[in-house]
Amino acid sequence: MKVAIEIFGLSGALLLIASGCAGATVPVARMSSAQAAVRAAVEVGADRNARASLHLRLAREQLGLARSLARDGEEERATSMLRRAQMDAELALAITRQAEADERAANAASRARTVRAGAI
Amino acid sequence: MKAVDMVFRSIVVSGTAGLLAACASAPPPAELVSARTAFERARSGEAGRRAPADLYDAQLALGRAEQAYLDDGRTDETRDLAYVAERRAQLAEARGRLLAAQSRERDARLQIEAIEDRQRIEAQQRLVGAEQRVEAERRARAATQSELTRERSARLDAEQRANAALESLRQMANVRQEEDRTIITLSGEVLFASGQATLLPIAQQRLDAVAQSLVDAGFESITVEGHTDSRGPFAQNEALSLHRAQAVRAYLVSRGLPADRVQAVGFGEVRPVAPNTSPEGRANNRRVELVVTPARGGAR
Repeated sequence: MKVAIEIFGLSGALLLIASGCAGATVPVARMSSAQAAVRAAVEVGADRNARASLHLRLAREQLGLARSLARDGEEERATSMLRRAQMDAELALAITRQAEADERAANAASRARTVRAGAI
Repeated sequence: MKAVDMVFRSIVVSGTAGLLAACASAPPPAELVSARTAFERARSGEAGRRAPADLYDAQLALGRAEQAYLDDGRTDETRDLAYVAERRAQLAEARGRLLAAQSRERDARLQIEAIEDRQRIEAQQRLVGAEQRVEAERRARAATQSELTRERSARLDAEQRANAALESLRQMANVRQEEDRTIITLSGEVLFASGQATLLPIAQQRLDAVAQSLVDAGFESITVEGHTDSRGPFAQNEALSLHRAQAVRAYLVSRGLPADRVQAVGFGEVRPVAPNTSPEGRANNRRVELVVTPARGGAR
């Protein structure tokens, strides 16, 4: 069965190469998903975090590039660019949340030190 | 069927081997190198401990990029897959750190709660202790006050008893104060028949009252002094005065006065209080005096 899947995957790839991806289009769902990921990152405040804002900017640039590639008929490259945009947007969001959690933990630790000092 | 499988497998393996051979000389693209580094960092960091699912996704993504590199070399697709793999690794790392931060925050909050709970309990214990001390002090003050009141009342009672006793004595005998001593003078006419040292019955009644008054008033010591007038021989008067003093002492002791604090002395005729030339003067000289030293610190 595993061998059959490998053969199928290989055959599919060969077929795709042979056809030169003619007629393929950028999946609307993938484009929507990447855009939604960017919006989610903005909503959590990724713009205000240095590291996160870098990835947010990359995501936006890659989204623009994907649109441009799609217009030029480079659907496969456009899809790859959307994957990159999606990942950068998700990473921007994760970094923002991590930074918030770090800040909350630092505040709690500081308060614990204060309370401990007061208890002595 | 098995034979067909074998044939296809050999085709796939030989094809892959050919691609590997083609790529072996080309160095991996920078994206793949970064992805490997990012994955290693994530695996050895918090993601490895706290975000295994994300790390697994990153591993799969890196595997796809590696495979693409092996299969196709430095193509755009390889670079894209490596880029995604690097981001997956960074995502796993961020999530691992997020979970670590949440854990630290939780620990700190638990510590704060524990300390605050302890502080609350200690404050409560201090409050209870303070309340108990205040209550104990209040009771002690009340007890002291009560004791003072009792002592004051007892002192007042004793003073009243002493005063009443003295007043009673004044009604039955001549009482005078000399320095700190009280001197009670009993007429010899009332106590004894002439020339005798035996108490008359009426004398006993009077001495009963005197004894009771002395017991009530309290005293340190009493000296019973016998005195006579100057009629008769000197030595006889001296002996008579001593015998009369002894008789009074014995009677007072028999009425409850402590024997070790009552003594008798006979002075005879040597301490007259009036001239012996008249019957009244001689009558005044025939007498028994009780010299009372009061109890130390008041009545007893």
